[in-house]
Amino acid sequence: MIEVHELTKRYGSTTAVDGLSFTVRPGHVTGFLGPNGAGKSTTLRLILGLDAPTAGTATLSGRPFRDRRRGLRDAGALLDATAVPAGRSAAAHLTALARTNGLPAARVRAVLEEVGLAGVARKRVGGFSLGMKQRLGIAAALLGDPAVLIFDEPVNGLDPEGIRWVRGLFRGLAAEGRTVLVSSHLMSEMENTADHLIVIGRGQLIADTPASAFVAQGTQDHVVVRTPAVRSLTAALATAGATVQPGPDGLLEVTGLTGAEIGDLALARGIALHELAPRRASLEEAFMELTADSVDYLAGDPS
Amino acid sequence: MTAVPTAARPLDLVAAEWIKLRSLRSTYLVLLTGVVAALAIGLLACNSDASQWPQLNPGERAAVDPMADSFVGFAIAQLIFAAIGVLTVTSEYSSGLIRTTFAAVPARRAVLAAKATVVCLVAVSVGLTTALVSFAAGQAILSGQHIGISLSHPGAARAVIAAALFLATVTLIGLGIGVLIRSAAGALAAAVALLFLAPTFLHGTSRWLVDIANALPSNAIRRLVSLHPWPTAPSVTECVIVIIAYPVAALTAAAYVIHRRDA
Repeated sequence: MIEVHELTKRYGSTTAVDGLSFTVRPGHVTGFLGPNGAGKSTTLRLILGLDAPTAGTATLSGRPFRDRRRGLRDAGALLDATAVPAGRSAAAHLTALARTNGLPAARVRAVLEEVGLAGVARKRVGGFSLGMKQRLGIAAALLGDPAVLIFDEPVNGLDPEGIRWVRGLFRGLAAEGRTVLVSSHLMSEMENTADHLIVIGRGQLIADTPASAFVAQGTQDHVVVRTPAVRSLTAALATAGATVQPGPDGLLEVTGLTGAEIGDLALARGIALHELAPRRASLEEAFMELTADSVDYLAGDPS
Repeated sequence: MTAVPTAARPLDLVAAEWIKLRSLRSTYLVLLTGVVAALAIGLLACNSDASQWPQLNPGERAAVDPMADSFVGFAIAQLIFAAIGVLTVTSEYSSGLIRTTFAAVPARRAVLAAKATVVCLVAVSVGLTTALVSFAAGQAILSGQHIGISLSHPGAARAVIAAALFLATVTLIGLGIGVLIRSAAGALAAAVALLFLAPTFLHGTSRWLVDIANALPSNAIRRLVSLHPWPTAPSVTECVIVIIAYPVAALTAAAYVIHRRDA
C-alpha cells in the first residue's frame, strides 16, 4: 500500500508536485499517468524517499520509506532503465544489490531467469539494448520479493513479445496480492494492464478511478456518419436531440443517438448514408481530453 | 512475498561495495596506473641521483635525500588514487545508479561508510605493497653508490607506512569531494587543485604562507618521507594530524550532505 497525502515538491520557483493525494492499493495494477513533465517521476522519487518533499507525506506500508535501513524486501523499483553500471555484468550488478540487503545469491539467479536474462548474465550491461536494460531493471525490482513494486515507464524499448510478457508479469504480481504502480505517458500501454488509474497533470491530481470508469468519465461514445446530404441530415439529427460535429474528410461525429437510431432516422427521411460506425472512446482519447489543459510541452504552441 | 524484516548488517554493505569495485575493469586499470606511476617515477629519481653522485660536490651531495627519492612518484600516484575515490561515487551519480543504491539502502550514510571502508582498505594494501617495493628497489639502486638506506634506518619504516596511509588519505578525500560535487570532472579538478596545485602556489617564506603550506596533505607526506626535512617543514605530529584531519573533514561534510540532499 502506498499512501500519498498533500504531497508537494518545489524546485526553486517550479512546482513539480502540487498537493497530490492518492492511495495505491494492493492486489491491483495501478496505472500512473500524465503527460511529459506532469510530475510522475518526481512523485515516485518522493515515495521512495530519494527526494524530500517540500510539504506533505508519502508512506509505503504505513511509514516513510526513508525510515528503513534496507529497502529491497519492502519495495522494488525500476526508476530509469538506463541507470545501470555499463562496465559491470548483469550478474555482478544484481549480486552487489542483493548483498546490500542480505539476500542470497539464489535470488539473483531466480530473477535473471524470470526476466529472461540468464543467458547474458555474465555480459557487460553496457552492451545491452534498452529492452534488455528494462528487463534488468525489472529483475532488480523483483530481487527482494517485495510487497510493493514501482515501475517508471517500464515498456519503453521492449519489443511486442516483451510488452506482452511485462503485462502478464504485472498482472501476476498484483494477483499475488502485491501493490503494483506502473507509470506511463502513453495511455494505450495501460489499456490492457491497469485495473485502476491515477492521472496527474502539472503535478495535480486529475483522476483517480477504476480504468473502466475513466473512459466513461472522459469522453462520450459517438457515431461517425458519412452522407451526401450533410445539411439535411444535420438538421434532422439536431431536431432529434443529437449533437453533430463536422469531422475530418466530410464525416459527421454524432453524439446523443445510437447508430441504430441514426440509421432509422435517415431511412425515415429518405437520406442516404454511406457510412455509419459507432466509435467507443478509447482510453487514449479520454486521457487526451482530460489532460488537454495540463500539457506543458505542446507541439506548435507559439507561447 | 516475505514479511521477514531484514537484518541491517553493515558488513553486507562492505561486501556489496567490494563486489562493485572489483567487478569493474576500470578499477584494475586505474590502480595499475597509480602503482606504475609511483614505482617508475621513484626509480627514475633514484637512478638519476645514483648516476650523478660521483660528479656532485659536497654541498650538492648534502642536498640529496635518498629516502625521499624512493617516494617521488607518490606525488603523481596520489592524484590517481584520489581519482579512485572520486569515481567510486561520481560514477553512480552520473549513471543514475545512486537512486537504485539508495532505494535498496535508504540508510545513505551506511552506504558512504561502506564505500569509505572498501576504498580505504584497497588503498592501504596496494599502497603498502607499492611503498615497500618502491623503497626496496630505489635503495638498491642507490646502494650502488653506497648512499642507499635500509628499512631499519631511523624514519625509514615510518616513511613506508606513511606513504601507504597517505594513499588512503587521498582516496578518502576524493570520495568525500565526489559526494560533495557529484560530477567526476568537477571533483577531479578540486582534488588536483588541493593536492597538486595548492602546494605549488602556496609556497613562500612569510609565516602565514608557511602555516598554510604546512597544513596541506602533500607537504605532510613530503615531510614524512624526507630524511632531511626542509627548514620550515611541519613536525611529524603536525603531519599525522593533517593526514587524518583531511579525510575526516571531507567524509564528515559528505555524510552531512548525502543525508540531506535529494538523490
